[in-house]
Amino acid sequence: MTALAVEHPTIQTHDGSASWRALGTYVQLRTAPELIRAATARAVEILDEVDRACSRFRADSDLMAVERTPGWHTDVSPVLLAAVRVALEAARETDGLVDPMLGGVLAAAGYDRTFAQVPAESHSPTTLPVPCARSRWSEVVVTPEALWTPGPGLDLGATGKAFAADLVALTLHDELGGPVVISVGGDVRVVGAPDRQAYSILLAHTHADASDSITLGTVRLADGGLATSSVAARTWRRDGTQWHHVLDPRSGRPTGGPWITVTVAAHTAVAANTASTAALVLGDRAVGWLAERGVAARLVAADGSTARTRQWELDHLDVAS
Amino acid sequence: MPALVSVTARDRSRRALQLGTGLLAAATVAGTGGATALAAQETAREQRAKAEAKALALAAAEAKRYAEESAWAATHPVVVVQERPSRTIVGPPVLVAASAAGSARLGSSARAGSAPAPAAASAGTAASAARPAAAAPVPAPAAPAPAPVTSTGS
Repeated sequence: MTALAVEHPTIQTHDGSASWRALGTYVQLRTAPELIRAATARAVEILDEVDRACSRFRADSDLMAVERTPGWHTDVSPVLLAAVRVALEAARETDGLVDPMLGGVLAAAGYDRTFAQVPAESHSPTTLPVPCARSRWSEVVVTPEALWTPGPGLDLGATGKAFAADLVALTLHDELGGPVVISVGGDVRVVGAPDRQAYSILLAHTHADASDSITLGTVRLADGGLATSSVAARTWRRDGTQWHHVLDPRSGRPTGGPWITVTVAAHTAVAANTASTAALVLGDRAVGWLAERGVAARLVAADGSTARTRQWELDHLDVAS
Repeated sequence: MPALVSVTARDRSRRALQLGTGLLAAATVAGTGGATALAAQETAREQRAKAEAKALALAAAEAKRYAEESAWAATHPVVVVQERPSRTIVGPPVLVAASAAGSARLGSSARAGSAPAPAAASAGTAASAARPAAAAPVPAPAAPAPAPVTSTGS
C-alpha cells in the first residue's frame, strides 16, 4: 500500500462518480450524484487512515511500529487491529494459503517499497529465507488494543485493499445513507443498492488493460463483494527470477499453475479476495476447492480459456455480450 | 743506492694508510647515514605534526558545522511529528462490522444473508456524532448512474 503522492480525486457530479489513487492503487467510487462530494471526501479520509495504520512502506504506520518491536505487545490503531483480524480469518479459512506473514519474503525478493518504486528488473541477489517459515500467522495475537507478532513480516497486501473497500462502503452507507459502489484496486464492495439494483463491473487482468479496453467481460453485482486477483499485475524481475505479488506460502515463491486471473463474488470484498488469492495459490486444484465451498468464481487461464464454478453460473453474474 | 725505508717499514706504512682510508670511508658512510636518518626522522615528525594540526582543524570545522546545523534544525525541523487528527475517524460500530467474524468466510452459505450489516447508528460514536441528521432517517437517494467500476488484479 501507500501512494507516492497525494492525488486529488476527479469527481463527476452528474453521474455520482469519482476516481483517484490511494493505497498505491486506483480507487473508483459511485454513489448518488448529490452525495458524491461528501462521500469522496470521507472516503479519502478513511483510506488515508487505513494507509497510516496498515502500510508496510511508511515508517510512521502502526504496522511498522509492530515490525520494529517483534515479540512485544504494541498499542496500535483500531483500524490495524480490525485489518489483522480479517487477515487472520482469511488465513484460517484457507488453511494458511492466504498468509499475512509473507512480508519478509516479498521484501527479500525486492518488493520492499511501494510498488511504483520497485525496479522492473534488477540483478541484485535475493536473500530469501530457506526454508520459508509456515504458519507463523497462527501465532499472531490480537487483543482489543494491541498486536503481537512472532517476528517481522506482517503484510496485509492480500486482504488490506479488500478490507478498505468494505470499510469505506459500510461507513459511507452508514453515514450518508445512499447506495455505494467502491473499487479499491479491483476489490469491489456494493452496499445499499435500492431494490437490489445490480451494478456493472468490468473485469480485466490489470488496470492498464482495463484502461486500454482489453477486458475479460462484464459482471453485475447487486450486493456484497467482488475481487479479482491476477499474477499479471505487480510483476518484477529480480536476480533472473520473474516475481509477482501472489506468493505460495508453502514454497515462499511466486505461485505457478494454469490460472492468470481469478474473479470471485462473495458477501464481502474480503471474502472474495480471500478466495481469489487462494485459487491462484492452489493452481490446478483451484476449481475443485472453490466448488466444494460453494464459491462463485470465474478463472481465466494463460491460454485465454475460462472456467466458472457452478455457483457463479447460478448467481447469473455474467452480462451477456 | 740504499733504500730510504725498509721493505718492512714500507709495508707497515701501506697497511696503516689502507686502514686509515678504510676507517675514514666507514666513518663517512656512518656519518652520512646518521645524518640522513636524523633528517628523515625530523621530516616525519614535522609531517605528523602537520597532519595532526590539519585533522584538528578539520574536526573543529566539522564540530562547528554540526553545531550550526543542529541549531538550525532545532528551529527548522526536517522531520515533523504530526499529531493525527483522530486515530479512529471510522466509527467503532462500522469498524466492528467490517472486521466481524465471518467477514472472510467463504461459500454460498456466507453469501446468503450473513453479510455483516452496516452498523446501526448509535449515540456517542465518532460516526454518529459526525452525521448531519442522525435523528431522522435519510431517504435513499436515487441510484448511482451505471458507470461501471473495474475489478482487476492490482
